[in-house]
Parts: sequence; C-alpha cells; structure tokens
Amino acid sequence: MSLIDVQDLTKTFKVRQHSAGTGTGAVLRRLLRPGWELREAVSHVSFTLDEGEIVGYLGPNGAGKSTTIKCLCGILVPTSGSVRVAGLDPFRQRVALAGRLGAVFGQKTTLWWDVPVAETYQLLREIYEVPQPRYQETLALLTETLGLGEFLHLPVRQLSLGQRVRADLGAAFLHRPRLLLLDEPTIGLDVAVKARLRQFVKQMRDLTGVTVLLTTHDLRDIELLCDRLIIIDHGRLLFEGSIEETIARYAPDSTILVELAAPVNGPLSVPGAREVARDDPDGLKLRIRFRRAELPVTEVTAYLMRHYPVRDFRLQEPQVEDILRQLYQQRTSVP
Amino acid sequence: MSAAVRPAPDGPASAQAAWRSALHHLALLRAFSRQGLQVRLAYRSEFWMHLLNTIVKMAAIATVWRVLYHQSPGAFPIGRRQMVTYAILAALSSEVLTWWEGPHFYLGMRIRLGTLVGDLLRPISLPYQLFAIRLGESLALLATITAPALLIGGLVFGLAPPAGGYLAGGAAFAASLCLSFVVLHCLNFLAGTVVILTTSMEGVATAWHGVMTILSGWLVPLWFYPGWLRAVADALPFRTVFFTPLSIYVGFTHGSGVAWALAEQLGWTAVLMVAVAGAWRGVRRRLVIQGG
Repeated sequence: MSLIDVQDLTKTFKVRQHSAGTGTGAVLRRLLRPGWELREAVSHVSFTLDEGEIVGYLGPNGAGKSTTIKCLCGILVPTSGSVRVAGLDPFRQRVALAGRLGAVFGQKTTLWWDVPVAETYQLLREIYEVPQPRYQETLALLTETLGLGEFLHLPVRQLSLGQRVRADLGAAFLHRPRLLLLDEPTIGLDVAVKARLRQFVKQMRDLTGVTVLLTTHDLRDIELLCDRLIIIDHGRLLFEGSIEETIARYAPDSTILVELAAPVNGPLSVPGAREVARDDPDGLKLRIRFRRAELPVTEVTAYLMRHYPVRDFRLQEPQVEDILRQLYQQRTSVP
Repeated sequence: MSAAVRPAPDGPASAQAAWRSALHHLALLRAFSRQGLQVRLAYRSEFWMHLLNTIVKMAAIATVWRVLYHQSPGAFPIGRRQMVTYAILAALSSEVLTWWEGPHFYLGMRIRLGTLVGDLLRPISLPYQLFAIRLGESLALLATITAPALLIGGLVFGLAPPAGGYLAGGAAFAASLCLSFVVLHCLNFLAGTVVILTTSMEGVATAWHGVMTILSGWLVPLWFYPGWLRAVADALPFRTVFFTPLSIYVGFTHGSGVAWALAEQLGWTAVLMVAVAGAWRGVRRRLVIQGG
C-alpha cells in the first residue's frame, strides 16, 4: 500500500491584488476596497509514494512544491482533490498524523530560537511521548550520524546554518517518523554538510524504512538520493519517473565529440546519426548526435574509427541538470 | 487530546488510558514550563530590565492611588491599604499574565514570518500548545519577576491580607487568578485569529491594548466608571481577567458574591473555550503560510 496517495490535488489561495497600480492614490484605494484574486498554487496533481522510497519533488521556484508539502502535513486544506498519508486525511487528522511524520524546512527552523537544542529535544520527547530508553537510543544515533555533540548545549540562535539544519533534521527524526518531508534541506549548506545530510537520509531510510519526499534545487541531492523524481511547474505535474526514465524521455540523444588528426573535406556522414556537424572552422572537430536507444555507442565509434582519421573522442551523456534547465525554461506540460 | 488518537478501549482499560493521558499532559506542562523558564531567562540583561521595569511600574501605580486616596478618601469603596494593594497586585498580575504579548502576539509573529508551520507539525492542537507555552512562561515570570517585586512592594507600601482570611480569601483569589489565565488565553487567541485573517498585527494589537486597559480593570478599578461604561464592562468577559480576582482579594466582592464571581468566571471560561475551538477550526481552512 502506498504511504502517500495524492489524487487530483488542487490548492487555490485568495491573494490581495497588487497589480492595481502604484502610488499613494492606489494605496489608499486598496485600503478601502482591497481587490482579491484567486491564485492556483497546485493544480490537479496526482502521485503516490511507497513505503521506503526516497522521491525528489522538483520544480522551479514558485512551482507549488512547498504548498503540496504543507497539504501533506495537514497545515493547509486542499481546495479540491484528495490527500491520504499513512491512511489518514492530513487536514482532518492532523494531530494523529503529526506523530508519524517529521518535516524540515531548510529556510525556517522549527526549533526554539533562544533555547539550547538539548532542551528543545527534551520537550519534543514529551510532546511525541517517546519512551526514555528509545529516546536515548535515537539521540545517540542522531548525535553520531549528524555530529550533534558539538552544539547540543547551545541555543539555536548561536548555531551556524549547517548546525541549525542538522539540529532541525535531528528534531524531525526524534520520534522515528514513518514519513520525512524535506523542503530544500540542503539550501545554503557547504559541501561537507550536504554530504553528511545525504548520508544521514540514506542511512535512516535503510535503517528504519522511513519514506522521504524532498524538494531541492541541488542536482547532487537528486542524483545521489532519489529513487524517483516528480517534476511539477505552475502547479501542474510535468513528469514522474526514475532518473533513467527522466533522461530517456527528455534527453534521448547522446553526443560524441571527435577530434581529427587531419581535416576531412566533402560531406560528412554517419549512418543512423541524427546530426553530424563540423564544430570548428578548421574542420578538425566533429560533433555527432544520435539516439542512444536506436544506435549503440560502439557502432558509432567503430564507424568513425574506420572512416575518419580520429585522434581522440569524448562521449557527452545528458545530465539531470540539462534536462531540468530545459524543462524549467520551456515550462510546458508534457502530453 | 492524545487520548483521541488512540482507539477508545472499554472499562478499566479506558480509565487507565485516561490516567495515562492525564500524566502525559502533566509531563507536557512541566516540559513547557521548563522551556518557558529557558525562554524567559535567555538574556540576562532582559531579565534585569524586566525586573526593574516591573518594580517601577508597580511603585508608580501604587503611589498614584495612595495620593488620590489621600485627597478624597470618601470616593473609594475600600480602605487605603486595600486600594494600594489592589494597585500592586494589578501591576504584578498584569506582569505574570503579560496580556499584551499572548497568543495574538505569538500568532502575529509566526504569521508574519511564515513559521507557524513549526507549531502545526506538532501532535497537539494549536490552542492547547500555545496555552502550555504561555503557562510555562507565566510560571517562570511568577517565580523570577513577580515574587521579588511583590516582596519589595510589600516592604515599601505594605500589603493588606486577602479579605476573608489567608486560607479562604487567598484560595478564592488564587482560583480566580487561574481562571483569569484561561480566560485571557482564550481572549488573546481569539484576537490572534483576527491577526491570522488580516495578517496584520499592529492594528489588532493596538485595539487590543485599548480594550484591555479600559475594560479589564487592571489600571482603573471598574467601580469608578460611569454607569453606561460600567454596564458595557459588565456585559463583557474582559473584566473577569483582572477586576474579578482583584476585587475578591481586596474584599470589594465578598460573601456569597465571591462564589458568584467565580461561577461567572467559570461560565466565561467555558463559553470562550468553545469559541476558541470554533474560531480555530474556521481559521485553519483559510490559513496561508507566507514566504514559501
């Protein structure tokens, strides 16, 4: 059974109209008669997550990712559609669900600002009714994997961003949730902290079977962590599938860059390739683009070796980055 | 609240569950109190300034009433010592309850920065969670600010003992003050829901400050009010926050009036708790988290 089941989720916000002009007159008019408009943050989105999956929920800024996550937590009520998490309706059964999920919002801490981390953890232990032995066990595990020891006694306001996010992650995991929602957990963190966070998420999944849904703009997060990607934009679902499927779908072509020992005159051809072109004015560099699925790389390179004075060649595989850039720029829905 | 999560068993098992739930709530309140103490004592300079501020405020109010009493003792329905005591206890209980920065203030800050998410992730209803936080902070203030200030106030101005004796009068005053805390929490939370709907704290806070100052009796005892204003104050719950416990202490409310006053406070508490639950249910549907 899926842990998360989202069907046709739509969330509209009523927002103040700010387009109605600027200047003193407009400000005063708005004071008396505020204009309202409806904005669809999430529109007819459906997806499911199975137990133990780590899924990347991707999309450009303002795509509706955080809104979806807040609907999953039961903080926001869906305008229409249905959301089930662990068999519960998050909005109606928020309190019951809260014990089963943990969430980290990279840009906002949920810890008490002026209070030492250890004190807040104690409070969370009471709130989530974690038995003392289990709490000690989890805390030891978290301290080790997240390196909390050096700052557990410090108030949150004195922590660096990396320490704070680690403390937040620990807080989200103290009660051993079944679902972990991570909203841009690695934003603004240095390489070492990012690596530690990724390792932690993987380790906890393997150890406890926790399901993870994360939003991120970090490509390494996606490549190293995610079993599957869900991509949305303008509140609409663009794509859902594994990284391989995403690449196969959006970047089916590979490119071989060839360096020649001597210029070749006349027309160029490689059977089956989609594009063969000279890459520089001297005619010493070639670019061959072909469908990976239709034409094996070995066939292309073998043909090139036989028919051209090849000095060197390099294979360019498409990257997740290229695909996302392409997707975000086009901003069109997939049929 | 946590009991609602579990399936309700029958017979002795359910009594056991209720007992466990009660223990859990006690542990929770204790934990929040510790947290409140931590929050309140986080900045050393803030603590000392707060203590100083409280003493100055208390001394100023007490002095004003002492002078006024001296000029026209006939205008007061209670004795001079009682009036000064009213002033001191009003200033100090106002400090314990910190009515100007309750849930409405908290919700205002959280809404403005979009950090209400953190509170809504916890497996506790929001009104109850804010109640627990508030209680923790108030207990911390009672111990660290009010107790020393009360000692100084007593030494400098002299305090009248509670009317009706230390035991009965003191108990009635303490019970009334506890109800005040709940009533104030509910009123503040309702103001907070208005803050959520308007996403503007300043407007609500300003109005709130005015209403509490005029109608609660913390600054001016209601017996000085003209008939129509007194009627307005009597019809509203605000006066049960300060005027009810203070007039019990100084003996303005006495005899069977005390029981009535407590019953009335209890009634308001029940009404307001229902109102809070309803308002929160309504407001939750319209919640917007600002800033992504």
